[in-house]
Amino acid sequence: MIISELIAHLTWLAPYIGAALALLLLKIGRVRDYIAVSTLFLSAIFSTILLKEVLESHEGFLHYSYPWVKTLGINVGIYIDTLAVFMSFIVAWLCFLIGFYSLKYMEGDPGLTRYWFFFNFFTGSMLLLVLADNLILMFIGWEGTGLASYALIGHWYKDEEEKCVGDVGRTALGTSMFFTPSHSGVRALIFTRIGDVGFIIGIITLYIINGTLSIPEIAKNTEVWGEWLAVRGLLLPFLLLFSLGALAKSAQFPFHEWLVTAMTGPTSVSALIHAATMVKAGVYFMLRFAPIFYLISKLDGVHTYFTIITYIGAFTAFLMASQAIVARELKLVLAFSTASQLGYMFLGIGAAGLLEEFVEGFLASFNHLMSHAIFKASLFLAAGGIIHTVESKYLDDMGGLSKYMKVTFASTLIAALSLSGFPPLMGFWTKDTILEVVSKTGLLIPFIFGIITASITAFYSMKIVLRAFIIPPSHNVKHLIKEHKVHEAHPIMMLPYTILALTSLIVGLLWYFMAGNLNKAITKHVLGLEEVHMKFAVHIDPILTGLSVSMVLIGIGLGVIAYTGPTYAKFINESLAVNPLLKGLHNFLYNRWYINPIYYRVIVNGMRWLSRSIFKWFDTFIIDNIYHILIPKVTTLTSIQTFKVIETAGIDRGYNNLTVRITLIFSNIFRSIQTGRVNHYILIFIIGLALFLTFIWLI
Amino acid sequence: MNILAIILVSSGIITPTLDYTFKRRVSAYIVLFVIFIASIISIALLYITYNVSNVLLYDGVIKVDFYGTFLAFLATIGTLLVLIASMYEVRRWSTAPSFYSLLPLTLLGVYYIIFLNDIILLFIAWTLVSVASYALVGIKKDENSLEGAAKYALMGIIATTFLLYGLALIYGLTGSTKILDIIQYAKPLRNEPLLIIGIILLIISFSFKIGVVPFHGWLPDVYGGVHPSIISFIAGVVKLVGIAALLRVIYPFAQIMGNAWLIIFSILSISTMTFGNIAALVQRNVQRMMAYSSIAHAGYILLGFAAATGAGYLYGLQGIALHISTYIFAKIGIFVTLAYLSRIGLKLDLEGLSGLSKKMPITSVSLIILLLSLIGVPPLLGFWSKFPYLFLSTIDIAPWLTLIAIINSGISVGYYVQVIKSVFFLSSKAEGVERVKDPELIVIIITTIVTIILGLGIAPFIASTLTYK
Amino acid sequence: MMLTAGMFLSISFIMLAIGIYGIVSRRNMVRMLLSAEVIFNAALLTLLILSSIPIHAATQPDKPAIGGAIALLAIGIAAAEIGVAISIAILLFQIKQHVDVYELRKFRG
Repeated sequence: MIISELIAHLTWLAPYIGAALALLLLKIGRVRDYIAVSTLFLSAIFSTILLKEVLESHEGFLHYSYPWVKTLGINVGIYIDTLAVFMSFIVAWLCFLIGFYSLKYMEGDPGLTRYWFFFNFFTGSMLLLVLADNLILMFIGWEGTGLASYALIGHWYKDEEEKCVGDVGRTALGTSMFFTPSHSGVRALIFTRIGDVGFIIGIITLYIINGTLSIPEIAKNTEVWGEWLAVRGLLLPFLLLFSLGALAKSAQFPFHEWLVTAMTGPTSVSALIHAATMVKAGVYFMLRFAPIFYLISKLDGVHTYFTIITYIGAFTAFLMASQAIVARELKLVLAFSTASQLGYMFLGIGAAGLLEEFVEGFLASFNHLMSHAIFKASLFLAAGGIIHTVESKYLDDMGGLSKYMKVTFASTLIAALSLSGFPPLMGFWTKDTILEVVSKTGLLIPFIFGIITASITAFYSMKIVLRAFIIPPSHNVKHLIKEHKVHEAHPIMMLPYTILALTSLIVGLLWYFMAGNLNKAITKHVLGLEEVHMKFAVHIDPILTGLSVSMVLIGIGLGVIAYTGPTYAKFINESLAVNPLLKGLHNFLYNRWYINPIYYRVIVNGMRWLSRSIFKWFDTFIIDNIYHILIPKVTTLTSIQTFKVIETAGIDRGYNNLTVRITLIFSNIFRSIQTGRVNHYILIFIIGLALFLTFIWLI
Repeated sequence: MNILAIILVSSGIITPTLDYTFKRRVSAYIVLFVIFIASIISIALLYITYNVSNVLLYDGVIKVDFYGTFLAFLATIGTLLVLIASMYEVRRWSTAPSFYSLLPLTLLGVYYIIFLNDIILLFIAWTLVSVASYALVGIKKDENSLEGAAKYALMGIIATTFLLYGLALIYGLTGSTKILDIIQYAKPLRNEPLLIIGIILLIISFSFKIGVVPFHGWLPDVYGGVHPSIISFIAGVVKLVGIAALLRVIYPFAQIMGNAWLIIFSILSISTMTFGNIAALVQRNVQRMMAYSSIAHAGYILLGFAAATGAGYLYGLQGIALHISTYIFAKIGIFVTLAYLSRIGLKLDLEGLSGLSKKMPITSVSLIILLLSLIGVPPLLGFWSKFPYLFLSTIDIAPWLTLIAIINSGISVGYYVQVIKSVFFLSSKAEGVERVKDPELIVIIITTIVTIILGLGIAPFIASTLTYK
Repeated sequence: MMLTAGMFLSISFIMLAIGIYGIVSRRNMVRMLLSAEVIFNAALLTLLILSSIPIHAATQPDKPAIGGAIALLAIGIAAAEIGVAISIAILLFQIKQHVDVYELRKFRG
């Protein structure tokens, strides 16, 4: 029993140990890298062992907990139900694969120790977050991922031009749209911080009502605290505040801006944090707590809450996909795509809360989380390889690479088709189930958003594939071909994303057969999830599927036409340059719906203006007049008097001299007791004895 | 336990003879080996006694329980550390074999006191430890050591005689020598004045060893004058003896004495703390200052005793054990540092130590951390032992005591800070090079690391395992 | 006259007082040790007295005759202790040519 506890705890501890070792071994480069990656491998293995254990165990979950700070009820504990174990399985393996990829990708980078330290620190925190059994530990993991992402996004903190996001000097609405890595790191931190405030408020509220921070106990107590909040009309605000952290971390509207500029980090970091794991933390939060909230859905406010989540998810999906159409940098397209797909996941879990069969939506969301993690990571890693080969981040500088990078091409194609939802790849199945769940809720607008976004997703996926590989080579690429620099990526880099793409393909092919069992396993024991009455087998609603597939095909078709058909391409380019309506639309989308400038102008500049004007008013009016003129006159008069009395007599003599002198007197008295003569000592001994005895006699 | 006793006794006796035969190069290693085995056995004992309740050996004379094995473990580790630290310098003294043979003998006496259940054993083991420590103090045979030894011996003999007097009274009045039985018989005798005199004599005798005011006369001279390597043992392990004796013999009387208990111990505690802290403020010699600080810390530990009649008695007990561990690690570390510095050639007063951090960074950082632990700065071990446990233990029956203790703790910052200031901030007049091979340095680093690690959060775990009866 | 226990106890108190006076007021270390022996014997006397009479007979039955055994042990052990103290005095004499305790005043204050 002890060994399995150890393994369970090591799953999240091992990467931390790896981080510490990376720091210690900073002199020995290669060894440090290998050790860091091997601790990731260890935690991946352990998570696999945990998976097996949980699936085989009778109750379907494991709970290990050591008391730590007893007075607050904080334990060092992990609660591993099937949701957590599947999530940690995915996270751990993805972290390992991406770490493996980084071995080659980050070779030669001067800040590698920092990189590995924060990479491992991040993995450890993410796993801690997933596995934690109490809210404080989860929060620690949450903050740890935030810190690590700040450090990793700003990894190239010297702000070289090619590492930034955006075009040099471009402005919109008066604010710069060009972001350096250091600035991006700060943005990421601040945006997610705002959400964390809500998270903390939620934690404190739960602690006050429940008296415990342990998640299983809070889940058991749901009826009680739900009632307590609902009676005071606080249930909806609480739910929204509590989920604020999740919304911010998963880059949902209105917190989505940080994910875009986070692309200043190395591509492996983008793959790790912004495709596969950290942004999924918000979704995991929802998946963890939504079943608990669903239990009290009969209370006021819960229904509204789920509706709000649904709308936010749908709108974010649409918003980000629209921006992906016009993006010029490869990684930006992928970033928008991530946020968009995350919107789908929120859409799924939000819709789940509105239905009778909660499990359907829950599973849809979780399955999409899995499949998205896999194919998005694959896309990002491949993008890293492409950018490395082409030595540029812009799509304009790519093209015609299909001849030279065959394996990368195949893997990117598979992953991109999965992203679009092309049957029978994994992405198709999972996106389809989400749309099905949404349609069951009967809400029209989210559904329409969902469908249209599917089409747009297909469009920009094709955009990537075509512009990078199929269309004739750009000047840049031709130049590089002449210098024989265009070649396939290194095998160490290629292996991870190929594996991931193949996984997406194979699982997709087998989905019809295995999904039933998979889903049953996932819901075997999840906190808050009640007995399920539905069948788990995959079923395809013909109308809906037909609709979604046709949207996908439309999107793909439009993409192909737009980028490969010569006349249409020229037509689009010309009309974009000339037609004001189209131009305006293009600018609107390119400037990310002007949301970022709005934030900066309103919030940032607004705060600056506010503080400046307060300062001016307060300073000039009140302070200058009263403080600098009136008060000095009064105080100089009184202070001269009081100084004479208090300072010299009181403080100088009393406090400074007197206390010190008294203490010194005592010290010297005490010191003089130690005369050095034994006889005196013994005398004191005896006197003490005598005093004692008389004292006792008196009592 | 049997094995421990036999090993220690035999090594203690055989070592000096071996040394003089083999030209004394081996004695240190033999003893090192022996103590090492002793520490392994004590760790094993920790495991064994963890779940088992009290074990009585030798017809009830010895009682082994977890609290005791924890203290024994501390004592063994302390001895081990002192041994390692002595490897360089002490080995070259002419009387080194005697030093090395006295250590295991003293440790044996310490074990017996920690585990005792019988007052005869108390007297025997007490005298063993006392005599061995008189000899230890004077081992170097130069003027300072002998002066310290003479004072210590003279006062110690008086203490022993009072001990005997007290034991006589107690045995005479209760008719049994086993402590558990004594408690039984003493209950009806609650207000018998002779009994109380007897108990007080015992308290006084034990307090002499610990350095409680007004029985502390020898302490500043001995701690402050004799060579620091020796003092690290005396300050650490021998002080443990006094506290363990108080625990084993006097503590069970808490219920019997009622109100008087609190009064006695609070008077002792307050006077000790205050005297120690205030007298330390004017010391220039760092070693003597540490002597007064030892006095003050003994005062803090007495707080834990004072709590015995209140609801916080368990905290008091845990606090005593934790504070002993803080104190042992810190004082051994500090005195070993002082020994190291004096070996290198620095004068051990505030000017001599100034600016040490530039030349010997590891040593000075460790010194500062240990001093901070004694002050009670989180997240070091000293914080845990002082504040949540010791000070809070008396808060329900005597909150004024806690207040005075906190004030004293504040006063103590005054002199610790002087050391820190002179080491860290003043310009360097100190010259010295530290080398990694120096065994003292290793010991210093070990004690610092232990203080930090235990303080980072493990301390509450340890405390929760230390229940007593 | 009847030699009651109380008389012996008072004798031992008187011896205690004599011994204490001796220790506190002597210069010579050996004389101090002599006085310590006096106190020690006082303690032994108390021990022997108290172990031979049953006090509060209601609470204890016959005492086992441990008192004498303890006394013998104590004599031996105290002798050892005094022995060590004497050897310290001897060493002191070797270095300083006197055993005047008043002169041991190197550490003051």
